[in-house]
Amino acid sequence: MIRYIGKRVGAGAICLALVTLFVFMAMRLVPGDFVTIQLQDATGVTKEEAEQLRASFGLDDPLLVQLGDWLAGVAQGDLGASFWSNRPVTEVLAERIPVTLQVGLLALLLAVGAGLAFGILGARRRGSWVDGATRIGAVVGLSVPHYVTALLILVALTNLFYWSPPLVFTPITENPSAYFQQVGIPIIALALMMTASIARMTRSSMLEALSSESVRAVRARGGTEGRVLFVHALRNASIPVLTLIGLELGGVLGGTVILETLFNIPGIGALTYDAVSTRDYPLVIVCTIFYCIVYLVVTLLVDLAYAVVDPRIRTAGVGS
Amino acid sequence: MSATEPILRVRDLVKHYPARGLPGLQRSAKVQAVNGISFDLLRGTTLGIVGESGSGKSTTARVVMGLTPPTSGLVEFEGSDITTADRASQRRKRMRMQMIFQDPRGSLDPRMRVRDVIGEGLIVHRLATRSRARSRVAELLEMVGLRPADADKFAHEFSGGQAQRIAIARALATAPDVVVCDEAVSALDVSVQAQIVNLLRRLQEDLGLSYLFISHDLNIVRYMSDHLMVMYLGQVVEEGPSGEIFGSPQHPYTRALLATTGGPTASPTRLVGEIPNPASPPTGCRFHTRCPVRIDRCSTAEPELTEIARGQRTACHLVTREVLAR
Amino acid sequence: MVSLAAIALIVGVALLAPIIAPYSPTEQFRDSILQPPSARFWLGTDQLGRDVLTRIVFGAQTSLVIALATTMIGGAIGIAAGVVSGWAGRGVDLVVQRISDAIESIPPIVLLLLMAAILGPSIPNTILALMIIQLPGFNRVARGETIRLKQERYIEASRSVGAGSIRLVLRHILPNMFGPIMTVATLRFASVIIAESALSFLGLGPPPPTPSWGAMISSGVQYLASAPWLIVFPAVALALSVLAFNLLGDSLRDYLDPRLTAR
Repeated sequence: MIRYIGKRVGAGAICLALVTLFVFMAMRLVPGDFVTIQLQDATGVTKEEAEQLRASFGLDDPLLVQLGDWLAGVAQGDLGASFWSNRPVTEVLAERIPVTLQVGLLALLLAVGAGLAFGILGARRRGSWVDGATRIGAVVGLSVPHYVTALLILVALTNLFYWSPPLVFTPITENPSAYFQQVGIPIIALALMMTASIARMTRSSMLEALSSESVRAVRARGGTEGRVLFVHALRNASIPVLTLIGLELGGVLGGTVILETLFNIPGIGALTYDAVSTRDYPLVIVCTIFYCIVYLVVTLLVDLAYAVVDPRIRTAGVGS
Repeated sequence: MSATEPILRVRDLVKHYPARGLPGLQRSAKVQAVNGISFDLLRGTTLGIVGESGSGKSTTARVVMGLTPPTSGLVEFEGSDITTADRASQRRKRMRMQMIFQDPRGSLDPRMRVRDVIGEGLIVHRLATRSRARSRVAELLEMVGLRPADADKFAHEFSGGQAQRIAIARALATAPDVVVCDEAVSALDVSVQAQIVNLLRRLQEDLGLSYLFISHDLNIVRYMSDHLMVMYLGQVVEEGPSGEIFGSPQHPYTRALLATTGGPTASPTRLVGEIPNPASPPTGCRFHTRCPVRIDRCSTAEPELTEIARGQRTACHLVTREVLAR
Repeated sequence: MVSLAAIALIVGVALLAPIIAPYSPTEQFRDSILQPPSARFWLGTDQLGRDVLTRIVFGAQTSLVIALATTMIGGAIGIAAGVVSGWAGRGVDLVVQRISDAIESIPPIVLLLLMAAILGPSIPNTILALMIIQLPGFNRVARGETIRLKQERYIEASRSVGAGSIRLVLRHILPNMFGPIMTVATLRFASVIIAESALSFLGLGPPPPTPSWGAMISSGVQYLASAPWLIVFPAVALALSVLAFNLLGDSLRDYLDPRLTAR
């Protein structure tokens, strides 16, 4: 087991290295760097001054030197400072990450809860209108991108109820009502796609498990309907759900970028968008790496949970 | 090349696999699938190879066919070593050795039409043009008892027996001299087995083929083969003319095998236990852990194949001792 | 099947756009700015007086063409990589898989942002950026299928007849993975449409005045309250198209599954 984790961490490290390299090169290839963009509309700035400014950011150094400097800094715990605000990246991250994590976790909870509920409901009342509606809803939910869902909800609420979400962020601890008003729609939008997948997967898993031998045996022994459902069938269904979470993760993370920007939520997503637009290299690199790490960690956790939940995988030998 | 020289000579063939992912083994352990076997195949005859699964018979077939390289040893086809030859001559030689597999349906690509399956050898070795191939395929289909019209069908439309006929036709396409039959009838219904076996015999007579006939079914082997080789855990324990061996089996393992068929030499000896792990074979005589008549020597020294009767050789300390005593 | 009919409809609309659209997508009717749906403009007009229906119809063209190019090229490369990776194994496999993992670990939007920022908005660049995102998906399926098919007896049989690796891959492995590939391709098609709309939403996709559903939604955000039809109609068109392809992909998957196990 330890060896497996070690292998995964190693592979993940290579992954991160590739990504870092890619981002560095990408930012280098971009036409116009931070300074040029900022000074785009500024007249009266001479070429020499612009060059000086660039040198002060280290932008005129060759690529490898920039990479080396940055890595050296990281080794000492210094992730650089934003070109824009000159604030240390670590500080900015510390502010932004919790916000996105909150939103993400809430969306995840909603998705899993609703998904499981709809899935179980659909399996339980198979063939009824509830089931049909759930299945149609699921396919539709899978087809609509996050931002479109969010916008459609917004359109409906705005035009029907003349309501609009607050655009100034208040943390949940200060004012839960304002927080949820601002964050509610993005959370629902993020959760929708996952809910749809989870609901479908849960439903088919449950149907399979409910008709399986072991469940029939329990029923024959006189287990009540409730126990039969929850104890046995749910365990079987949880495996594919875990895989789904891993698969959907990429899309969800991406969704945070657009949604945060749209709804003015100060999280990592909005930060990434701003950073790319302004070519704020230190931020761009760290944000991208952050997403990668989250992805790698979550997929590793999902795989480990997989092995725990399904003992067959464990004995067969994890990793190949 | 004289008629008495064997068409196929195998000397001291060894094939080891690295043991990967098997529980309870060290990384460096090796699966000793084939551990030093030698045999001759005479032109126009059938050499039967019998043994339990794990004895190394299929591995032997694959190494001889060139599907996997030997760890060491010699494989000579018509007098020249094909394991060390260059690519071009290897291909030419291997063209004249073909193979028929155990699972008839599985050995045919479900997406290919029968004529493409049979004709693949012709195309790969560039032996025929399109039109020539078509007529050759029709010829082959008739030879194996199918109709030329079947050429346009898909492989999965046929029954097991018919599929095996297609496989035989495919093997014959390049006019081989040697055909390796790896459990060629084991997966078929008993009634169909007889048909295919008879077809194989007829083809042998008509075309002068030489067979390596691998099977665990002793009755069929007795019917098909002129010579016999009994393998256990990668080694030959007894070999010789099949009539002699079936008539008077010497090696305890052979006797136990024959006991299961209930033939005239059925002895009360039964085989106990399972075949040991090929990655960690027993010391000395590999069979000693299951042998009902083992003596002390058996666990320390490996017996060698000794001629005990005309053409019949056995690797057993007890038998050798008896023979020497006479 | 409903989805096939829907797809036929969408494709038909896209192909016949120039004929069936009432107006030109760039024609501006200065006197009819931000009009709600009416007899003259069935789906209303936008802030420059352009007919929304026309733009949606031409937008279908844009989306489908981009999605098709992306899926085909990205699919070809991804499948090739997957097959080579699965067939050769060991070192090649390791390298290809690491690269594939790296691509997958960046959320698509972030990757698209970066690439669009580097390359600049244009149709070929959009296709390139979207294509890279599709690679891991195709690679994974192709690799898995190759590894599975490698074990099949008929591969060994063909090899014993004398077939070399190239022939085995082209004639035996590739044709036998047709089904799963088609399923993946269809589902990927749907996700490309979504991704392209996200790109154009952010202003990084095909540059104006090329009509694209994502861009239409984006420019409609300002008029959320006053002219909601600017957002709603393109959104519905988007959802319906993606829905159609998702349904098709699902049906394909269901259709192929029992057939696989029955064999």
